[in-house]
Amino acid sequence: MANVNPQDHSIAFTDTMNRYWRITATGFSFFLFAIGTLILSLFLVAFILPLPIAKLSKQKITRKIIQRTCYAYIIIMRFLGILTFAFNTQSHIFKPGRLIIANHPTLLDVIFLFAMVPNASCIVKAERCKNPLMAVSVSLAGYLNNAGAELAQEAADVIRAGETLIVFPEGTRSTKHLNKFKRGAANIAIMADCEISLVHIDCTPITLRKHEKWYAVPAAVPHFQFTVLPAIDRHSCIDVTRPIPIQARHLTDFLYGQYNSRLLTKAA
Amino acid sequence: MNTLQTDIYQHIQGLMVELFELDADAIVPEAQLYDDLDIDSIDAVNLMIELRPYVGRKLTPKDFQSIRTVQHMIDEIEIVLRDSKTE
Repeated sequence: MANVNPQDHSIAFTDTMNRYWRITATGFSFFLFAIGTLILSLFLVAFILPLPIAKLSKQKITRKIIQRTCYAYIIIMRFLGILTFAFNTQSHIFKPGRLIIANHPTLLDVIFLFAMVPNASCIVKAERCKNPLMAVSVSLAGYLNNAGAELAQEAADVIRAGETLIVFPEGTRSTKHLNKFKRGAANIAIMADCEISLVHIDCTPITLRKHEKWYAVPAAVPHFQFTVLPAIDRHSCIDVTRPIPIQARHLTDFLYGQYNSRLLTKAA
Repeated sequence: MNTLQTDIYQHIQGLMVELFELDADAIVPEAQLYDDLDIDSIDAVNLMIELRPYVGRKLTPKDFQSIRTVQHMIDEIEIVLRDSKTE
């Protein structure tokens, strides 16, 4: 005990106090999210829905509002000291008419991506639209419903119309480092004949994983790093003379490989 | 399996090998489309498109909604073929 530096005690104390603060602030952020989505959807229904303008115009406005709100939310969390973030982007991600895919390590991935990408669309799980307020907001934003029988075709159509669609090929948050990729994203890219922009999401130290409790705040402040990788044109990655289902399998394998090699390099 | 079913089976087997890079040996009547053969809903739509010349009409998602196995698919196609013959 005689060899312990008194400063070590105060550092440990500060770290502990910081951690308690972050647990409190994290709880507050969850609460803020719940309130925020309620206020946002009420605002959209009260002020945007009744506007006497075209559906597409309302959609553009709605998406802009959502983007700004997402950005404000991450700024607030940074201000509270519960996370830091950095975007390492490339210009292709902002060009319209593409598919954006990302790995999905944390609960906040969607918020960050929507803060980063203008006029973004996504596929919403049908059960989230059971709430009528959510259903109207999702409809105003023009997001796609995953229960649709023609979902892949719809997704391809919106991309061809110039929208940017964000899809997580894993389908859900990663368990271990990367889940097996579903082929939906590849199929959409083939049907839309579009470029694919890849985003690599890294959170260190990792937090808000699947099955993780909200109060399991890590010892250090998590840093969210978003790296945009070079855009992919499937014509240069796979044999496009093969039947479409085979292209989808090859393209999915290729995309999975892009992420897997990056994640393995990081782990090394 | 009667002769019509055998014909359907061979046709489906050939299509699946061509469309999904599957081993012909894996495409047995008991095979589960999703669990064993990794055929998802988008694959099923593409398969239906390829089956159109054989079946004579466009198959709808409704025709194939509850199909889980290869045998079930053979049965459904048989029904469609027999229906069109009686028209």
